[in-house]
Amino acid sequence: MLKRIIKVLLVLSLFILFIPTYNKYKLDMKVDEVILSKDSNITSIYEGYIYIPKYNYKNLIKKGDRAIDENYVSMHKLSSSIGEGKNIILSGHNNRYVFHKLYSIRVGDEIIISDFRHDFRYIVNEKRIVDVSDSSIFNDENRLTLITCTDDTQKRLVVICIEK
Amino acid sequence: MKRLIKIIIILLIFMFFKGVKAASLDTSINKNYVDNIWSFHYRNGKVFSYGQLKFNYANGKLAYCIQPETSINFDRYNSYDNWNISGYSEEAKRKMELYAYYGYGFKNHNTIRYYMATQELIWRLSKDEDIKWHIGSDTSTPEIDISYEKNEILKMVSLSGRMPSMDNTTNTFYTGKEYVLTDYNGVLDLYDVSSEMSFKRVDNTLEFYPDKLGTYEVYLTPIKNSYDKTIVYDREDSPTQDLATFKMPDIPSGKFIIKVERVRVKINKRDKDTNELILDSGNKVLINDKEYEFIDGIINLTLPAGDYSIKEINASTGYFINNNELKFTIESDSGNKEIDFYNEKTKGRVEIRKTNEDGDYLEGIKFEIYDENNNVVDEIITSKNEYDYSKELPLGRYTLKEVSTLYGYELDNKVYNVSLDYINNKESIVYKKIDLVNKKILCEVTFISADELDNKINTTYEVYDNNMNVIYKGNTIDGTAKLNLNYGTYYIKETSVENGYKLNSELVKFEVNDTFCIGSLTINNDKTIMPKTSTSKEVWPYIILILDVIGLIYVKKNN
Repeated sequence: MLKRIIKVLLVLSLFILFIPTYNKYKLDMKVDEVILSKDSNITSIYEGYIYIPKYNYKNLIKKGDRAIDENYVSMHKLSSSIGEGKNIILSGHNNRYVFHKLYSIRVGDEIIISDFRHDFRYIVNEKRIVDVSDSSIFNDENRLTLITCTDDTQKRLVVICIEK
Repeated sequence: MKRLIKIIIILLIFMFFKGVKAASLDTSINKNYVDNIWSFHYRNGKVFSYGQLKFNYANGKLAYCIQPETSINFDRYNSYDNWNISGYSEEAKRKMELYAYYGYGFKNHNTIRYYMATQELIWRLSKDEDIKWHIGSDTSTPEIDISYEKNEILKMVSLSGRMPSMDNTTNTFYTGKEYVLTDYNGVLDLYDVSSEMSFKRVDNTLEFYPDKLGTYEVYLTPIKNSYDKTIVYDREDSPTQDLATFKMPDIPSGKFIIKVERVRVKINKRDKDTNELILDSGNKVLINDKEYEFIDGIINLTLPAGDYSIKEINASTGYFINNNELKFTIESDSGNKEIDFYNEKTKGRVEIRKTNEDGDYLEGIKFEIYDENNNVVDEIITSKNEYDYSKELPLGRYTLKEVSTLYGYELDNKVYNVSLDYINNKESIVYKKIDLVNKKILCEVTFISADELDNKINTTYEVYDNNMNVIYKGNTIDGTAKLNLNYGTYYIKETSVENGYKLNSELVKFEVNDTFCIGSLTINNDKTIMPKTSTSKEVWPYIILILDVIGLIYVKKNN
């Protein structure tokens, strides 16, 4: 009897292991759906989307506060809006859905930010690890700042991009 | 008959040439006796005749007795202009005329005593050896002495023909002065004096007061108080006393000349505003290039007729020179002239230069000027010009006060003393310059940098004026900074912020004015909070894999 239970659990666990992949698939589907949507009722929920051609990575951008969504890119409350030309500050969890790719991105890679109407092209200019108390990245101008966490909770990976 | 006619014609011709009138008794004789005066005529040492004094009038004319030895027996006489009728010589006639002229009736010779003297002097040309006067018909009565009157008449007779000493002279006078001409011959009172020029007779002098230019003739004319002809009254038909009326003797007339060549001119120096005399001495003018000096504000001089101009050399203290020549003309018949020469008092003007602390001229600031009695005498409102002037003010002490200023400027409450002082007589206006600086109102605006919880933040900032020029750079201390600003429009912007906060680079416009002079201006900064992007490690797949391995091992062993 126990053996049978274990077998069932084994089969179930294998299914469970495929859940993240499924979720990623669903998220990608949703992102594509929103990006391609012409319905402003749908797009107005988001600030825009980010697209990293090198990784064919797309994700939607939502307003976010300190506690940010684990599936979407968050626009910091101190960020300027897309197209304002100031400092667009985007943050995201260091997971496979959001900004995990920032660790592998290189200086010179292209990043596109869109408000669904216009695309703004940026080039990665710098990557650096900063202390969480360092507010200098908030006071820069005319750039795109991407933030994600590191293994050290007191540090953050910051990718600074300049408009192309 | 023919012979008779010839005789008659010859007789008529003879009568005509003899000047004998027809015995027509054309003259009425009236006698007025004088009481208590009797004349006694002496011949051969004794009284030959006597009679009561009487005034005889022949047809109303005073007639003197020329035949004392005979009485007047008729009241109608014939009149004769032929002196020979009288039986006296021409010499006697001339003397009688002189006695009659200078005697009774001449000037003040109006007393009976003068009449007696005149009659006696005439009688003494008859055969009378002596004549005496008594108060009665008897020589035992008191005698009347008229020697004084006789001497007076004889003195005048002796001077007869002598002219006053000024006769035939030319005298040069000026107007405005008294001139006295004295007759050193002592006969002036025997003449009438007449002239177009006014004069006054005092004893033997003539006092003239010439009042205008010209040439005047002064006539010396013998006093006329006698008749035109010497007439003898007589009757040929009967013996009676001869009477005579006498004409004025031949006394020459004369004249002299007075030339008034210079007229007296009085020049008054007057204040143009008040017309008052400027009582000052020592100031000079040129009158036709000749220098004259004022004494107590007046120049007295004499000038002949002509054209003149007055040019001032110097003016009295408090006045400036009148550079306008004053022209005047003295006509040939001009009288005394009085000329007013006017000087204006030197005035003063307050000159205000009004700037702010930056040296900009301020337009529209109002000042009032007060005299020593604190009365407002003028006001000045500044313009765009460098200097603004008061009206012309009398010299003296004044005070100046700002009564209104421009928006954004402090009203200057200081009272400025201004003394408008005389400099010299060349300056018509004295300028007193006052440079005044108006301070802008300095407000204190507190600049605050704070977060949304009102925590103060240190920032650096820049302040811009309305033209976006940086006028101030600074930093907050404990989140605040004091900005001392004048009224105006400003902008402020943070340039840096302390760590932990986002720079607020917004350009904040603000107005400093009456309602916002002391106040605070806050710029909020957002706290920069690094987002939490850490994700808990997904260990559950590994656990599941381990459990799966363990499960597989377990299943394999049991098989």
